[in-house]
Amino acid sequence: MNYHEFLKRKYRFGLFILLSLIAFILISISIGSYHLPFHEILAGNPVIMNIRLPRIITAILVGASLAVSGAVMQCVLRNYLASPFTLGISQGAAFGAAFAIIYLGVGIMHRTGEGITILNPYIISLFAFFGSLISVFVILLLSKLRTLSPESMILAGVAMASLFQASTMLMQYFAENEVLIASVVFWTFGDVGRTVWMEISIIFVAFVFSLIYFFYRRIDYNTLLSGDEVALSLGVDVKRIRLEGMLVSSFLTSVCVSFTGIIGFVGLVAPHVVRIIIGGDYRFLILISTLVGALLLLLADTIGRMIISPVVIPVGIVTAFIGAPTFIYLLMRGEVR
Amino acid sequence: MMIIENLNFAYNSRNVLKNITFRVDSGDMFFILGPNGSGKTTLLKCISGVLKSSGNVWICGKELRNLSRIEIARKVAYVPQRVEICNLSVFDAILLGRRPYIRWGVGEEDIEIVKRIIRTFELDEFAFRSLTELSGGELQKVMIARAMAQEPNILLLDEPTNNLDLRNQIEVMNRVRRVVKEKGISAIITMHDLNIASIYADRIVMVKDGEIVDEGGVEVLTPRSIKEVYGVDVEVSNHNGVPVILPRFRSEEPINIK
Repeated sequence: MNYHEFLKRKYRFGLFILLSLIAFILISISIGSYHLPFHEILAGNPVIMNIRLPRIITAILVGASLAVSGAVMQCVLRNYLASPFTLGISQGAAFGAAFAIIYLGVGIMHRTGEGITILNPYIISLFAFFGSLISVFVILLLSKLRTLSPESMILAGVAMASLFQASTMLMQYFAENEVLIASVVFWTFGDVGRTVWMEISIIFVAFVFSLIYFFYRRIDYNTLLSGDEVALSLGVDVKRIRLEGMLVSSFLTSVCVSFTGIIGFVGLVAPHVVRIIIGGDYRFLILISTLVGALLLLLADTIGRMIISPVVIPVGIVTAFIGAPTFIYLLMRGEVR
Repeated sequence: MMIIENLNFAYNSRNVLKNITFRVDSGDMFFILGPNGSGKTTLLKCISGVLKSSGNVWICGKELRNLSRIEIARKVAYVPQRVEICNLSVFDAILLGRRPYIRWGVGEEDIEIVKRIIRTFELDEFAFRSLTELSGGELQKVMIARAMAQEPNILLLDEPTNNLDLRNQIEVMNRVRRVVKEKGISAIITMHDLNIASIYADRIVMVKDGEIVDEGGVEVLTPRSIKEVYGVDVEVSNHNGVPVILPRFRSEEPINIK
């Protein structure tokens, strides 16, 4: 075997995931409580353009973003348990959203026949974004002030996550009426079904820029795997790469979470799946993780739409149900160290 | 060639290295010997630019402090004592050595260089195996191979024979000496095994408490200098021109340690 053949296997896996994703998009687009014949799907029926397509594209973009963020966090923090969810970034976003809903009254929702609609999603998203940034900056600040080791940074994230959860609960406890509480709870369910085209384009832009940056740094991430000293001796500015990696991945996560709520496990599991199949080379891990993350989230959302149709289960709940056992399985196999 | 002049390094206001001055010529196997905690590893880290020290370090006529990270990485390769094992293939791990030369992506030339190094280090059968599947000896060879892919002028090895069996120790050291002599580069090596050092060393410095105690060829390995540095009574005999160091003991008495 030569090196090119060795790489070809990785390309082949990437291609396989890409084709599966495309196939799944087609399946997902034709499934729904409102039955549409195939020619109407192709003709761009309003149900497709306004409901199913935004939903599918959001699932793909958010799945890809969370997965690539998780992959990068796992590398720069040298901890395979790192992910947007385990670092408290998602919980920070929920805290911000809860604050906006309860105290600023911007997000009062009203019940319609089919579910709950958010009145002013942008202010909530903005506060969710700020909330997630608090987590990020506390972790980064701690690492700067106390020169925290990457391993301890994840523990700081875990602490931040529970602090934010407690704060959110406290706000809910003292909230004036139950509609506010319901709105907060509803918001925190990760859901890819409430984004509109404008929000999708924001996520898209954040995703594309982050992905280009991560891809540019792919070889540096490989050097980090060999330890800081080796990376330094190879001419890599380890501190800068670590800081930038954390900032960009947290930023991307924040954008996603602020529009969709908390979606756990994709960022944790997707990079591991790729690592098990094609190894830890970040030249491939970055791009293929995005594909696997997109596929996972789309799969989870389709399951959520189908399982007790016409009721749609928010994708955040489905990913937790699929993700947790998967992760435990990976732990048992000894793949996650 | 490398010149080190008045190198000092303090860690939390404790002076770890004091006025270190020496010179390493091209084609030399240069050994730094000394007990645990004497500052050997810190010295290598200062030379490799991993730690910032005061004093002057010249590499091939250029001052270390005036070189960028990448420029240093093209001249100095460092293999630390502790190896982080990751899920990369042997080929990709060695390819990392090309990082200082890579701008946007890996080129054909980089791949050819890695292929050549894999052949010289006889790693062909492991090339596409993951590092996680290798033995200690194989892993150490891969790390040195990675350092060679940097095409350095100076090769820094921190206790390269640790955790290796006798055969692997000799294999690794033979290979290092061969590249050093063939390419005319310098290797600076820290080591605990005085007998391996005495076989392979062209020059030796002996370090104690961050200071150089003795410097020279293998002849500096005397009972007096070893007693001074390690506090152990030894006998040094000559075997085919190579000093052989054996702790002095009598069968009824333990080895004298002071």
